[in-house]
Amino acid sequence: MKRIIFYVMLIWSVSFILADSAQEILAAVDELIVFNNSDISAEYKIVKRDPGGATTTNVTTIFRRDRTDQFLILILEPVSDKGKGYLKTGDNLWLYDPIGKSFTFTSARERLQNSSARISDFTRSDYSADYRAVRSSEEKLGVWDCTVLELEATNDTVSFPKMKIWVSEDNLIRKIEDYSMSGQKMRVSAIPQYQKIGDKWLPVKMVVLDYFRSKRINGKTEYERTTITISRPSIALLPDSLFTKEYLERVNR
Amino acid sequence: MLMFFAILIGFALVAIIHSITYGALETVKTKAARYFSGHLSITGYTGGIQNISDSDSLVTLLENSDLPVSTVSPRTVYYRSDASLFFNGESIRQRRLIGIEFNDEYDELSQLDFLEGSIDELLANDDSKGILISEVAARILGARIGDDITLYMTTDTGQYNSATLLVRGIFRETSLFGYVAYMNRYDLNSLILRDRDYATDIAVYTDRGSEIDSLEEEIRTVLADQYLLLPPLDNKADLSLKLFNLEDKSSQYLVPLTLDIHLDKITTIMDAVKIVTWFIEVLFMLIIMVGILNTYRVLVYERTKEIGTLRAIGMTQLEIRIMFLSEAFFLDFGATIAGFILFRVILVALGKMDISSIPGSGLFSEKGFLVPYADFTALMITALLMLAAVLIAAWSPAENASRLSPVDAMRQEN
Repeated sequence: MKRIIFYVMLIWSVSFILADSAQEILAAVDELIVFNNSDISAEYKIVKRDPGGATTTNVTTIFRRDRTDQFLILILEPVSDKGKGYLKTGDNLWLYDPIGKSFTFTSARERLQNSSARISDFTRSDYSADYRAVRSSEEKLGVWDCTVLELEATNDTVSFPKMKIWVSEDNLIRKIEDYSMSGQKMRVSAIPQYQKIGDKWLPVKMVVLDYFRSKRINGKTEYERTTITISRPSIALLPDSLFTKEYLERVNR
Repeated sequence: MLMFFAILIGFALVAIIHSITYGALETVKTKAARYFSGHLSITGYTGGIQNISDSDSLVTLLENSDLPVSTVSPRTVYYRSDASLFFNGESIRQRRLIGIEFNDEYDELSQLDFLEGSIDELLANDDSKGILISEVAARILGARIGDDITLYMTTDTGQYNSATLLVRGIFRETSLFGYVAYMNRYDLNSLILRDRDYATDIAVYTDRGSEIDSLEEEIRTVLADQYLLLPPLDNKADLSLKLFNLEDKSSQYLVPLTLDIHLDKITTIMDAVKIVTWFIEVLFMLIIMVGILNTYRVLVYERTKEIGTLRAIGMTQLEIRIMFLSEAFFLDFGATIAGFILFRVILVALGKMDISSIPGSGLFSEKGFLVPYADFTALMITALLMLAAVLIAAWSPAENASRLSPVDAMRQEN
C-alpha cells in the first residue's frame, strides 16, 4: 500500500514538474517572439495556392506595438484591395474598406485576404497565457531536436482551441498543428527560418496548409497552401497616430 | 342552358383560382414552417441570450394541452453565418444549421423534395452522424450520398469546432429557404458544447389551413400559467426593442413567433396575391351577373305571354317574382353542383402537372407539383356569393316580369 502511494505521489510530482517545464518552454517562446520593448513593422507577402493551381498574391505591411497589443495591417497589393486595413485598438478589431470609407467590426479569427492565414497569426502571441500544455514529448523534425507540446486553450479569445507545437532547442517554434475543439486537424504551419531583429526573432518564411480545403488530384491530396514571406523588418519607433482610424482614412486620401 | 354553363364554368373557375392561390400560399407556409421552426415557433431569451431551459417540459405541456397542433418538437438552430461545409477542396457557407429531432418532425421533413437519399436513410443509420444538405450545396461541393463532408462552425464562445458528417440526403429547396442543412439536434448540441437537451426553439406545426393567429393566442393562454411571456410582436424588429426594455433580465422570457412575423418581408406580397385573387373572383362574378341579367331580361321578354297567362289564372305578382327567383335559385344550385364536380376533376389534373420547369415555381410547388388547397369554407363562400350574384342579377327581370299587365302580356305577339 505504501509503495502504491509512493508511486502515485511520484507520478503526480513528475507530471507537475513536466507541466511546469512545458509552461517554461512556452514562456521562453513568448520571450523570443514578442516585441515588448519596441515596435515592429515588416512587409508580408502572402501567396495562396488553391489545390489544383490557382494562385493569388497579397502584399501587406504590418505594424505592431506588442506592449499595448495594438496592430495595423495595411494591404498594398492587389490594387483592388489597396488601402484596405485591419486596425486593433483596445479590444476591438476594425476592418477598413477604402471604397465605402467605412469601418466594420471583425475578428482576429478571420482569414486574412481569404488565405489560410488568420489575422491572429500576424499579431502578438501569448502562448504561456493563452494555452496550457497537456502533453509533451521529444521528436526530431528535420535538423531540429524538438519538444512537442500539445496545448489546450485556457480562454476563448484564441483562434484555435487546441494546438501542437514543435519547439526546437533554441525555443523557436518550427511547426504548428492547429486543431478544432473536436480534435480535427485544421491547419499545419511550418516555420523553417527565422531572422533576428534586435534580441527578438521574426519568421522569414511560413508555410500554412489548410486541411479543410483539400482536394484529391491525380491520387494525391493537395491542400490550400499559403506561403508568407516576411521582409524589411524594422524596430524603429512608430508614431502613436499610426494606430488610429484617422491614419487609415488619411492614407487612403 | 347558356346560363347553366355560365354559372358552372364561373363557379369552377373561381374555385380553381382560389384553390391554386391559397394552395400556393399554403405551400410557401409549409416550406417556411420547415425553415422557421414550425407554423409557430417558441423561443426563449434570458438576459438577451437565446435558449430554452427545460425544453422537454415545454414540449410536454404543449402536447398535453388541447391545442390544434400536429407536431411539437424542440430544435437547436445555429444562426451564426460562419457555419461552412467543406468537401473536396470546395466550401459553402450555410445560412443556418438546424438541429432536429428527426423522429418528431418526420412528416414535415419527408415533404422535402429529395433528389438523393431520404430521412429514412438518416434514421436507419442513427449510429453515424448524418446530415441533409441542399442541392446547391451538393453541387458546389461535388458531394453525393455517402460522402464524408466536414462541417465547420464556432462554439458559443467563438472557438472553432468541426465534425465529419455523412451526407444522408440531398434536397431541392427554393433559395428563400435554402442554404440550410439539417442534422441531428444532439450532434449539433455537442458541437456547440451545449448539453444534450439544449434547444433554442420549439417548433409547433398545425394542420394545413389552420388559423395561426388564433393558435398564438391559445398557446399564450396555455403558457402564461407557468412561463413569462414577451408581449405580442408586430414584427421581428420589435423583438430586440422589447428584450431591451425588459425590467427583469435575469428571468427567461418565451417568445411565440408566428410565420407572419418570420415572413414579414414577403407577407405583404402574399397579402397582395390574396387581394388580387379576390379581385379576380369578384370580377368573374360581376361578369356572370351581367350575363345573367341580360339573359333573364331576354327570358322574361320571351315568356311575356306565359306570364300574362299565369297572371290571368290568378298568380299574384309576388308569386311570379318568387317563381323566377326560384328558377334562378335551382339553376344556380344545379350549376354549382356540376361546377363543383368540374372543379374537382380539374384540381386533380392540376395536381399532376409538373411545373418545375417554370422559373420561380419552386417557391409555390412541392416536389415540382402544385398543391391546390380546396378549403371547404372558401368553397361555401364562393357558392353563396355565386348564388347571391345570380339572385341579384335575376331580381330586376323578375320584378319587371311581376309588374307586367296580364292583358298586355297576353296580347304580345310571339
